[in-house]
Amino acid sequence: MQSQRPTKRHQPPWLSALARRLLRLYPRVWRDRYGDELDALLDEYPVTLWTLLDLLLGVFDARLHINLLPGRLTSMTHRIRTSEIAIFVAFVLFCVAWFPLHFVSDTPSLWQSATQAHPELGVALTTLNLAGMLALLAVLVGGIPLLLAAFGRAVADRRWDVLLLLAIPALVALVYVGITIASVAAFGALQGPFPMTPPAIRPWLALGALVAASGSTVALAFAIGRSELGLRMARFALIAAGMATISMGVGMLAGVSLIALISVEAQEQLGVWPPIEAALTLVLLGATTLADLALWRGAQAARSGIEASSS
Amino acid sequence: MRTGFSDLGRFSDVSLLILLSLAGGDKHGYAIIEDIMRFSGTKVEPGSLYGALVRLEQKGWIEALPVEDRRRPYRLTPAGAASLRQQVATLQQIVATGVERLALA
Repeated sequence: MQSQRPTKRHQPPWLSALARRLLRLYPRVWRDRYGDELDALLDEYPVTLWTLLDLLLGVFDARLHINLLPGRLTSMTHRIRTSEIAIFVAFVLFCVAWFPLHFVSDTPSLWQSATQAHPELGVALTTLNLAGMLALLAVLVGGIPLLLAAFGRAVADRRWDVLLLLAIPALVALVYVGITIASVAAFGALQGPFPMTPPAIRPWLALGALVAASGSTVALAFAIGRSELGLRMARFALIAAGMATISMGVGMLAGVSLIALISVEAQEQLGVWPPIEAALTLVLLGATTLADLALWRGAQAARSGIEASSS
Repeated sequence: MRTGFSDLGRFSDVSLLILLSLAGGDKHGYAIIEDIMRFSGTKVEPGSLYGALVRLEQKGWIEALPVEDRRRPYRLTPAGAASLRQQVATLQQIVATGVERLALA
């Protein structure tokens, strides 16, 4: 607070422009509620450097205290959506461990001899694959409507930043396919009628796939995070996210069992470097813990939303 | 103080001024700033104003009215008026003590 004030006509235009840029740093839910009126206030208010500093402090305050917003349903929707994004990220992490474990049966002769001696290995892998597929299905069922809604909203509002983020996975996939085709054409060998990638570049392609998947995940998470989606859609997606979380939990138990069984019963035939086994176990545990916490947070928010809308 | 102003942290002073302003009638953001300037000589910056408005609305001490030409007026609620009354009574006690101890009367 100050006791002196300049008049609007002495105000340099860049101060007003900068103040409006600072408004964009407020959280979206905050801007949806107060953005227009604060913008209208700045039309009349003589902006000073002190005003800019005060707005910047306001940005930090709004971001730190987002739960204070009076539109509880808006706030609940935001919390549910961030929980869903966290579960989506957890699923991608789960896949990072699931895919290498899935390929443990890649050499049929070794896998068959191991499962004949230890049938529980087959049960663990089948359970992991089924749980992973169910989690994938749940993520698609919950995620595709969210993405379509985010896309529709971005087109209607001309949100080019969201549209670009939504396009990133497709662009990344195109680049990845192009690189794969080029590498097969340049270095590949025919296996039957099909060209195969040479073994030397497979690890690089796998690393590229991991980077592409991570980048796409982050892009989609940001796109959904920047979109305002309705509470009904958020709740529907949360149910699907709950199914994915349960499936990931079952998959985690199966995956950890599989790793333990391999190291105890079939280390010579199927075992990999122990630090990798430990890393895969940690990734599975981390992914399911993240998903559980996010689901708990989302469910709490959804319950509060139901109470708020019924009161 | 048991009026709940202490929960408002650094926004407690601004909040008191806003409530006093709204006690004189419904106002939108800029009108509140102008009114506060008039009766207290204090300039409230927009970031602080809205930081306080969010908290006052969350406490149920003020309520937002329908938007009029991009401006949203705010109204003091009965709960807000009760808190304001209590806070003003506390301030009156403080002023009375100050006057007595400084022998200003």
